This record gives sequence, C-alpha cells and structure tokens, in this order.
Amino acid sequence: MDKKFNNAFREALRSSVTEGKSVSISGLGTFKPVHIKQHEAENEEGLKVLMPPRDTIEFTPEGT
Amino acid sequence: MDKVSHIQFVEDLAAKLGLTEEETVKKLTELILIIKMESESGKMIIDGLGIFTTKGKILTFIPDESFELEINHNYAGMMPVEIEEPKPGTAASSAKTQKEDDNTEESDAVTDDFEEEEFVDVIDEQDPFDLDDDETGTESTSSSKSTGEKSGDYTSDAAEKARKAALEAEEQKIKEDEEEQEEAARKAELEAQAEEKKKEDATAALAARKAGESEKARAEAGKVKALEKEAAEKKKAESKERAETASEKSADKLSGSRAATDEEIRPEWVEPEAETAQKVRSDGKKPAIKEIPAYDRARPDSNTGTIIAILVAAVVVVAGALYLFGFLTVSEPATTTSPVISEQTEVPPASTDLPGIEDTETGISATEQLAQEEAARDVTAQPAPAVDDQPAAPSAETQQTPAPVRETAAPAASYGLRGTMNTTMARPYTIVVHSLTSRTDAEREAAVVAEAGYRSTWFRVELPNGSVRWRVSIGQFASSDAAVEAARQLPEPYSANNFISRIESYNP
Repeated sequence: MDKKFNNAFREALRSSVTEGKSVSISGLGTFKPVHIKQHEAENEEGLKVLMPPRDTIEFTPEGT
Repeated sequence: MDKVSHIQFVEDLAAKLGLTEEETVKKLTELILIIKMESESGKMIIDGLGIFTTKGKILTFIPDESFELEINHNYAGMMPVEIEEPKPGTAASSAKTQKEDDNTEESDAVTDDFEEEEFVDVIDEQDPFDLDDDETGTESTSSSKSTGEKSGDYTSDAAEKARKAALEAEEQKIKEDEEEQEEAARKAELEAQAEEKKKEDATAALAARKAGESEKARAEAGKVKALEKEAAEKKKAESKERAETASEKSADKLSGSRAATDEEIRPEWVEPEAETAQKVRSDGKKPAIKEIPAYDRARPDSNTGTIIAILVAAVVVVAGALYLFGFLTVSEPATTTSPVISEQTEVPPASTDLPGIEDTETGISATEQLAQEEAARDVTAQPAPAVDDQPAAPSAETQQTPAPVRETAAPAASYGLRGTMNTTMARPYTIVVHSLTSRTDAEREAAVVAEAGYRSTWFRVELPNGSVRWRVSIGQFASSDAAVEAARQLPEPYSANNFISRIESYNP
C-alpha cells in the first residue's frame, strides 16, 4: 500500500471536511461535517444536564 | 454547504501528489478496495483519519480522535452543565462530588450515552464563533497533562474568596449607610433646634402685638365704665392690679425659657391705656395668669376660645410666613378662619423642617425625609428652596422621589445580559459565543461584545489534548434556564449558535 498516497488521501479529506465541505468518493461514500445542537439529556446519575454542542463527522457509505 | 465531488477530490489529490488524474484515480480505487476488504474482515485503520469497519454489511467510519477534535475545535472541552442540582445525600450527589474532585474527563463519556440523532444538523451555516482559518490550529501547552476541561486557575478557594469579598463589601456598605444616616440626623436636629427657637421668638412677638391691639380697644370701653365707678372702688382695683402684676412678675421669673418671651411682650402690654382698662375690668377678678399662655395673659378677660384659637393660628401662620419669606414685619393681619386646620395645613414648611417629627401621611420620620430629600437633590439637582416653598403635598412627592432613583442606582450585583461583569459572583451561568486559540483574539472579541452593551468576559480552557482555548462569553445568570432564555434574545451571529456554560474563574 502506497504510504505517500495514503497520507495525501488523509490530508485532502481532513482539510476539506474541516473547512465544512462534504466530500463524496465514488465506491466508498460521503464524509460530511455535522453540527449537533446543545440539548438537554440525563447523565449517568440521572440528573438533567445541558449537553454542549458538537461538530463531528458523518459518514454515509455508498449505496445507502 | 460546499461539496467536493469525486472528480474534484481526485484533482486535489493529483495536485498534491504531482500525479496525473488517471494515476490518481487508479491509486484511489486500489485504496478503496483495500478499505472494503479490510473492514469486512475486521477493521481498516488509517492514522490521523479514522477506522473503517463493517457492521451488517454496512461500511462504517469512526473518525480519529485528532480528526474529530480538529473538526470540533469550536466546542472542544465543553462540559455538560447540570440543570438541576443533585439532592444532598443521594447517590448522584456523591458521585458528582467524586467526579468534581477527581476532575476526570466526562464530556465524551456522557455524550456518547445520549441519543443525538434528533439534534444533528449539517454544518452548513456560518460558523457561530466566526473563527478564521488560522484559528483552527491548536495552541499546545507543554505542561498540560489534564484529562478534562479545566478553566484556568480556578479552585474552590477562589469561589469562596469571591463570596467572602462580596459579603465584606456588603457589610462595609451597610456600615457606611448607617454612618451617613446618623450624620444626617444630627445635622437635622441642630437645624430644627435653631428653627424652633426662631419660631418661638416670632410667635411671641406677634402675640404680644396682637394682644396689645385688642387691649387698646377694650381699654376704650373700659374707660367709659370706669368713669362711672366710685373713686374708692377704683383705688381698690388699682391695689389689686398691683398685687397681680407683682405675682405675675414672680411667676415669669420661675417660668424658665418662657420668661424671655414674656419680657418681650410686657412693654406693649403695660401701655397706659391698656393698663387702665385692665385695672377697671379686673374689678375684683383675678386673672389666672399661671394657667394662661403668654399671648392670653395680655388679654385677661378672654371672651371666647375661638378668638384665642384664631390668634394662635394667625400667629403660627404669620410666623411661618415670616420665616419663609424672610420678613420681620407683620404687614397683614391674620384672616385665617379655621385655626385647627391651618395649623396642620398651612404650617407644613415649618413642620417639615422639624426633624424627629414623624410625617403622619407617609410614616417617614423627618430624619429619613431629610436624607431622602438630600438624595433627591443630589440626583435631580433641584435647589432646596424649591422644596421649602411647597406645602405638604409637594413635600410628600419629594419624599417619594428618591425611591426609584435608589433602585436605578442599585449596585451591579444583579444578574443579567447587559452591564458590567461582576467578578465577585461565584460560578454564574454564561453564554459562550467565541472559542479562540489566541488570548489576544479573545480579548478583542470580548471588547467587541462589551461595546455592544453586553457584559462580557473571556476565560482560558485547557483541552484534553493539552491545547488551550480562550472563550468569550456574554452575561451572568443565576440559572441555566435564565441563560438559555437570554441567549434567545441575542442578535446574530450570537443567537445562531452558542453554548451555556459556567464561569469558573474570571480573567485577571
């Protein structure tokens, strides 16, 4: 496996997603940044807490 | 949201690698096949990117921690905020205490337990924190080895000190207020004593004059009658009058402060005509000098109580007018028809100047009233004579005026969205609107927010990976609900996305 290519693949994908761009790769799927709003939830002790918002990555495999 | 198509991605890769697009497509296809094969057999790990696995013939991707942190830079290290406090003695309470003591990372652990799908939005809107690209990097701290979010140098001692400082400030303020009130009371008392003395002098002088005038009139009638009397009876009356005068003098000497007043009255009272009339009228009757006030003693026959009351009222009114307008001469005779009422309604300028007298309508003592008037004068810059010129009603208004003024001048200890940040508050809720890698940027953004009229602050946050964030927040609130409600009132871009947090420590 081409390590140099793998590194380039990683950097290209990371930079695009970090910039808020959705990246579609044929044969693999789509990487998309998503924002999770703050919301109420219960923690492990059963207490109501306000969860902080979060930016994360959503991957949708091709064909789904 | 911007989209990068497969072709664009290939072009980008080709540019990075210096390959042709065909070569790049070929290599990319090989990599995709490997990922699929490896994930089907277990998992395919790409360092710095994530892990591909297959679950039920469906390819899944779990981002690498560094990748996830890079994407979540705006909110990295934020902790869940407890909306309700654990009840003392419960398992939750003890668990919480233990967690706080250990300062362990809990954000991710807690977050993963929750169903988040309904809250997921594609990030296609403007960055809520409006970060520049160069801010997405991390600022490393070599000394940092914390595993959880720590806000600056906050400790429980700091909060305790802040509470103590607030209490001490409050006590000092109360003490100062009490001293000011005492000083005002002393001042008012001295003024009242001086005014009372002036008033008594004026009252006595006026009473003497009025009594002298009425005595003249009565003396004329008495003269006619006196001519018809026998010389012997006249001599007898004269001898009695002399005896009464002598007793009065002795009584005056014993009457303390009243003696001076009587001395002022006496020159008019003992005018020849009046003296003659009195000699005639007394006619065997002995005036009750000791029981009658000074102004009544000048009129021994005392026809009716009404006349006396009228005279008293007139004296008081004229004395008040003299005091107010600064005239020492009585230019107008008193024409007051209701003496009792006039004493209550027309004398207020004098009564309001008497400290220690409680206002019957407002229930405010003169001392308090004086203090309030002083406060009102300070705020409204109205001259004192304007207040003195007004009778009772305006005086009452003056007493009520300072109340709202004092409310508006309340110390900035209350919570709120606007105003100045009160750094004595321990762990208030706040609305985080910026998360920056540079302290300078945080200070600048905080200044921008403050210029908009909001109370703002910035604080340092140490992330799990050792990097540091500087967060800018708006407002101080007693509860998370109040903060959430206030966040809805924020304008763009702050209202679009923010987070409720707690201020653990204030910037120096």
